Amino acid sequence: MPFLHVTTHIPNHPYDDLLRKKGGTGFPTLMFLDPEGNKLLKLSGRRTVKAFEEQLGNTEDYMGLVRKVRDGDNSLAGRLLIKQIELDMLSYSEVQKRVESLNKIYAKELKKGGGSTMRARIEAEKKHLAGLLIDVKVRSLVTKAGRDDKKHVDAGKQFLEMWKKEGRVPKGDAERYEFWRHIAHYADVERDKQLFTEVVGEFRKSLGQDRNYSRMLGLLERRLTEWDE
Amino acid sequence: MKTINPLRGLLALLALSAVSVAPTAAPQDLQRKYRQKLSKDFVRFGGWETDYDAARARAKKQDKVLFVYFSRSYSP
Repeated sequence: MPFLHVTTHIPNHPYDDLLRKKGGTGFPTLMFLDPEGNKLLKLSGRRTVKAFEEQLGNTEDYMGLVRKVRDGDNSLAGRLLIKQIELDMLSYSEVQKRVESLNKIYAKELKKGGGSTMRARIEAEKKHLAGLLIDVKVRSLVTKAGRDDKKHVDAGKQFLEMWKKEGRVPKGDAERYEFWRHIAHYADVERDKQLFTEVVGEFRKSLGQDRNYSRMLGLLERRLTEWDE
Repeated sequence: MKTINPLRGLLALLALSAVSVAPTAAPQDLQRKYRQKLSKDFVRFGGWETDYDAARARAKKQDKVLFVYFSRSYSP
């Protein structure tokens, strides 16, 4: 359903900040929203008919999942939650609640019986969700910290515990970048050179090949040499 | 006691007054630009919904996603 939104700068014009609320910054921005107004997909890449059709297809696949779960097909509940997390539609606390509900659905399904295919699907979804939860937690803590440096340092401390005590590291590149960067910042504030050195090594190992992160890696390595001086 | 450098104070005052006299579009002018935008052919004949509440209500009723084109009227 085509909807044209025009930012007007007219005082008190309704929804004039809609683009900003949906995370857009420039004009034109093309986006798919669900009927509730939740962002599904921001169109990116080449603006061709083929690219549009592909992205529309992804959106319609998602809505198909939503309809089926809404109509009672619980076997797709896990897939839907995974998709919503990947689309960054849910906060960390919402994800935790949904995982709780999903575990009850899984328990009911397993109780009803069902073959090894179902068990394998449930195990795979649980594993996938456990991995995604870490990414959501990292995004959530970083966003909540805003411009408060103390909160960023605290986030770094929490990430350190996730890594060292729980053996958990995020999967997404952007999340790993924030994860290692925050632990490094925490180590720097605590004057823990050994930890800082270790984190720089992990950053280099996991993100060193990606040009997008080379600037931060350079900054971290320079900070390390400053400590040696 | 630290004293303010008089030159810096003058520059700050000039900067502030430059901001305050910079022309800002009047609401009537912004309204006119908005109406002009909505009167363009692609809007009139393109089947676009332009009211957000109405768009969501229709999308809910028809169980469809919204394809949103974000544009602006206050500037080219």
